[in-house]
Amino acid sequence: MITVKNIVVSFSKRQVIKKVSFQVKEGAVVGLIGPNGAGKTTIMKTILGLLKFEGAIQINGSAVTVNNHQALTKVGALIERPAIYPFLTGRQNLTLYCKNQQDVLDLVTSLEMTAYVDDKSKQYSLGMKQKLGIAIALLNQPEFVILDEPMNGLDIEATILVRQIIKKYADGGTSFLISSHILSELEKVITDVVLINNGEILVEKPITELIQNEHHQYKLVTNNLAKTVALLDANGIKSENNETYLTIDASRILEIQPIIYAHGIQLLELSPITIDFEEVVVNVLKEREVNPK
Amino acid sequence: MMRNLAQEWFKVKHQKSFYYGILMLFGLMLFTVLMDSDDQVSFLIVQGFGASQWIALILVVFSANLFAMEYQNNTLLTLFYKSPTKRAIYWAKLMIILGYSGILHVSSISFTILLKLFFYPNQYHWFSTVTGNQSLLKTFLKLTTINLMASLLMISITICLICLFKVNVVAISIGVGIVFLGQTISGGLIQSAGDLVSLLKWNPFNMLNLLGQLADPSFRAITKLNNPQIMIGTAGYTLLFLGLGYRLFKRSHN
Repeated sequence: MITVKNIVVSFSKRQVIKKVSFQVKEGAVVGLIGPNGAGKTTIMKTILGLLKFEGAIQINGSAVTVNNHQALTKVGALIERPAIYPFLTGRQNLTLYCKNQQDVLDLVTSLEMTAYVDDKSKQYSLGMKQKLGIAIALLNQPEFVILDEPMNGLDIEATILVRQIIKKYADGGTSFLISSHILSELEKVITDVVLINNGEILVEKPITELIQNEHHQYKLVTNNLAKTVALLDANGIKSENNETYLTIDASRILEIQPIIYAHGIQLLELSPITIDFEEVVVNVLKEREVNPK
Repeated sequence: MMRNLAQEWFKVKHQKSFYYGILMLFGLMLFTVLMDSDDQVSFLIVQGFGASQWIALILVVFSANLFAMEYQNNTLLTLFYKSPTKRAIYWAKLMIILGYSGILHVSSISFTILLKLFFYPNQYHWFSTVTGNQSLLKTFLKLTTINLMASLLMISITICLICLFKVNVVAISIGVGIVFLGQTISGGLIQSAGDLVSLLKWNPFNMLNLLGQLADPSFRAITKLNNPQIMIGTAGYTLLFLGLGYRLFKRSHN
């Protein structure tokens, strides 16, 4: 379990992270999201003991500080761009941090890097370098992995592969903290969301809960839409006619069925309108802009 | 610390520049033999055919690259979080540079013996007396050992520069400038210092004359320092630049 408690990070007396607290449970994949400059990378670097901070960070009960990295022995990370030496081959880059050749071989195989792992990494494409960076983060059976924009430069096949590997490691108990601007991709892999802006946490909850909470509207289809609109209106229920269906507020949903059945209207469909993750995030950010606190 | 040292060695042994540096030293020493006139050969031999200056030059490039690669490849971040302390990384790098300096000095001894054997097989015998009733061989070995110590100053200046600028081209350019012009700048400063000589003779560039002064006592007139003073000054500046370099290195990701 990774616990971040009330951390404050300042650059030249300006607070860039303001009392941020969250947890990453064992096997959880937490998406750290927010607009550019929100403080995502700063939080990640702080957890890695690279920046001075106030507050407390613990990894499985051991404290992380700028001068004490003992708790980071089972932590892997990919921050900003892959940290690789261009004059070394992919395998040598991995061997540098891991003496267990079986571990190296397993990662090379699972990330499908066998064909080029013995070439100098200066010859690698952006996607190959990214995969190598991810492999370095996953070395030595880590308990906690931090990935900053892991899908950068990856093609569709590699993206799916990396997603599968993250899920496999998470199933094995490894916790992840991942940031990405590609929310549609992130949505497929994360279990929890930490949404930040201007160095403050706006939302911290499981992704299912976040999306469910945003199901404010339902789609209603009947065999007589015009009559349904009139009936709902007469009962003080607002609806929006979209020609083929009506949009109804979720708060009045239980009242609808008795009304339309009583007037012999046939109900063809009543289902929540799905809002995707991107929309939810945008809505939360917009809401916070209008209503700052 | 041992893990950091092993990692640094792993990186260095896979870099071609590690081996090119030794080859380049041989090339530059050969160049010195071919270009210099015959009237100062014994002086050239005791100085290892200019090895001291060439080694300083190679060490500037090597040291700057050893630190610069971390800044340029974003690997410093990985090194920092995977190491127990930043000090361990810094000292591991320093140890590798000192080790390389040792390799270069040992190589320079071998190359000097080889070049003398090839170009002056029957002249300037190793056991002939040169300055201070000491044999050519003894003087040569003594100066090589002193140069091994004196090269620490140039190493510490380079580390300080690379940790400050984080770009090897800048650090190498300034470092090479100091290797070639440091003594001249210092000489000019002291000559034009007037009443400030007692202060300016302690300028760091003046300490680059250490080897010259120990080989040729007439250097005292230029440095205005006696032998113990110039040795203390060299050691002091080495420690100062190493400490300053560490402070800059430590803050690289803050």
